[in-house]
Formats: sequence, structure tokens, C-alpha cells
Amino acid sequence: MENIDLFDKYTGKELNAAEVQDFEKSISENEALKSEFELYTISKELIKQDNLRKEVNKIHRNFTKKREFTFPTIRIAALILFGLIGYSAIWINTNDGTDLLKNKTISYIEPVQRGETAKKNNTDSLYSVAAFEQLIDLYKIEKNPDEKFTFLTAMAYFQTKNYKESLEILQKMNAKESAFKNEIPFYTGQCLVGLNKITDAIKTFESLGVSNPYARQYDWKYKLKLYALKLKF
Amino acid sequence: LKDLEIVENIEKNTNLNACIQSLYKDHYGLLENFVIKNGGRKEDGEDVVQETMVTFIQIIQEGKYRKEANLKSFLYAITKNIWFTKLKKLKAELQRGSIWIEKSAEYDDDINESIKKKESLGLIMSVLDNLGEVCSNILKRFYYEELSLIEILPFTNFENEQVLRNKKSKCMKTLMENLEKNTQLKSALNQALKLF
Repeated sequence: MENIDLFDKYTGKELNAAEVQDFEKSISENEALKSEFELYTISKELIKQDNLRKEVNKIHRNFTKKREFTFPTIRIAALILFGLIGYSAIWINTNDGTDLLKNKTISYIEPVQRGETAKKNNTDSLYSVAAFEQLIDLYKIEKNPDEKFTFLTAMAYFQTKNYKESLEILQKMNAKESAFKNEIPFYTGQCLVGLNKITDAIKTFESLGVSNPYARQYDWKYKLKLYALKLKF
Repeated sequence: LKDLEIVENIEKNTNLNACIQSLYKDHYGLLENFVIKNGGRKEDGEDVVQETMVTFIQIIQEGKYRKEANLKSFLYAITKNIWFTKLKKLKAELQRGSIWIEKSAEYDDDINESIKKKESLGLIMSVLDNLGEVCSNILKRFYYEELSLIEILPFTNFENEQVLRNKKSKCMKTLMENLEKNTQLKSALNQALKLF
């Protein structure tokens, strides 16, 4: 055991020059001491290497575990992101606003039943049976169409996708005083969508008052679609 | 950590854990890829990188690393040598033939010497298994972590430094005796003795 302390001091450079000289002389002369020192050196190397291996292995396991966790997470996140981008790209490309013009939370049956007399006349009947062309023809020859007839003609143009004509009629009407004060601004916006004037359409929809039941149509999905269309046009 | 910082820390045997982590972070992919590109599987890559780290630290601590050598190239050279040595053995076993091993880098000799030392110790490593937890702990802290006996004392139940010193020497003596008396390890031990 004394020798081990001596070996520790020699390898740890704790001996002075004279002691080092003595030790090295003993090693060269004493075969048993030399063998013991060699065994000591190997044992020390074994301890060092065994512990170094354990430490490296521990770091290795942590590193590869973290890497395995990080890689799939990044891959999944990337897949989701690319999926979303791809879906958005396809959606933006295929979204032409047709669905926006179809989806109406409030059916147009209601305004048909309104008007000065609240009574079904010829124009009401034509609109109800979707005879839009005939209604438009009738409007063209009518010298003094009433408000309801005018509005129904605008809607007939809208239904036949003649958004420009529909818009012209709606813009001429006095929305504030009209029995169709809710419908006029909403369908003005819809016509603008049909004409791909999305920025103007958004402005029109934004100006719908909360009391306007059509404002409900302008929900987040509708807005999202409009903004996507805005990017496209 | 910067390359020079890593080398200096390993030389002084300080912050070893942080150094190895930094080496893993910066070089693992490159080293593992080398093995995979040269006929190894992912598992081979993992093993070789671990061996590379052990060899690298050993070379630095033996004072054989020349600081002008680029750390990345040096690690790459170690990986190359370890993998080709393994591959050569594997091929020899499979085909009883040999493969040509590229020998180009100037530090290949040092690397190969360290690989041989590491391998020779690997063959007698089992002798540590019977040492017991108390001895393993003391010897680890004293010879691997290079702590003084006073620093080790709080980690143990020993009364004072002298008792601990005696225990440490006894543990070392036991290890040396086990090594000497194990006949199965005799040839491996003799091989290791020639190298150290």
C-alpha cells in the first residue's frame, strides 16, 4: 500500500527531483517493484478509460435521445406547415368567390313579401318562379318602376350573374329611405365580389351596421375567404 | 466552446462533460455520416463516434495532439481509423481477406497507437466488475476526476483523510491483484503492458 502512495505521488508529480531520481533508480533495479508499477499504470488507465467511456456513453444517449425527439418533431411541424401552405395555395387558387355569392344566411324570400302594398303582383310572381329574364325585360319597358320592382330587377340581374347591371341599379337606390335598407348594402357588396372588386366589397361589408341582419353573413370564414380573394385579384 | 478551449479543458481534465457535449453537438453528424457512407449502419456510426470521443480525449491527455491540427479534421481522422480498423477485422472474419486502408494523415500513427491501447484495455475491462461500489467510487473520483482525498471525503462515510487514503490504496491493490491473478486475461494484460 505504501508503494501505491508512492506511485500516486510519482505520477502526480508530487515528488521532488531527488525523490524522482530515487524512485526511477528503484524501478530500474527492482523487478518486482517495476512489475507492480506496471500493474498500477494499467489499473489506473483502466479506471480512467472505464469512467470516460461511461461519461461519453451517457452524453451519447442523451444526445441521440434528444436528436430522435427533435427530428420527428421538426419533421411533423414541417409537414403540417407545408400541408397548410399547400392547402392554402390550392384553396386560394380554387376560391373564386362563387360560394360567397351562394351562401346567404337570409333567404331572399323575405324581401319579396315586402313593398308598398305587401301584395304579390306580377313582378313578385316572376321573381318567385325565377323568371329573371322576363322580369328584367319587363323592367326595361317600365317607365316608372316602383322601389320593389327596381330592387327585384337588381336581384334578378344578380341571380343571372349580371353583377355590373345589378350594382348600377342598387347604387341608384336610396338605401337609407328604402324598405330594402338592409339588402341594398349587402347585395352591393355581393355584386362587388362578383365583379372581383374585393377591396371595395370589404369596405362595403365593414360598413354594415350591427342592426343589419345581413351583417351576420360577414363572419370570420367569410372574411377569410374575402381576404384570400383579395390576395388573388 | 471554441476548439482551443475544448483542447485546453481536456488537457487539464476540467469541464470534460461540457467539452464532450460540445464535440457531439458540432461534429456528431459529420462523423456518423462518414461511417454510414463507408458501409456502416447507423448503429456502427453511433459506436464509432463514442470510440472516437474516448480516443480523442485520450490522445489529448497523453499530450499527443498538436494544436495546429484542425479539431474537425483530427476527429474525422480518428473516426476514419477506428472505422477502417473495425471494417478490416470484419472483412477478415467474413472473407479471410484484407482491405486496403488509406494511410495519409500525418497523425495516423498516434491515432492508431491510441486505438490499440484502448482496445487492449477493453479486453481487460471486466476486471473492474468485481471491485464493489465503494471502491469504484473512490477510484473514479481519485484517478478519473483527479480530486484530492480531502475533496472526496464528503462523498464517503470515512472518518478522516487517512482512513480514506488507506481504503483507496486497498482498493487499488485489490484491482491490481485481480488483474494479475486472472489467468484468462493474462495475454490481454501482457499485450496492454507492452503498450503502456
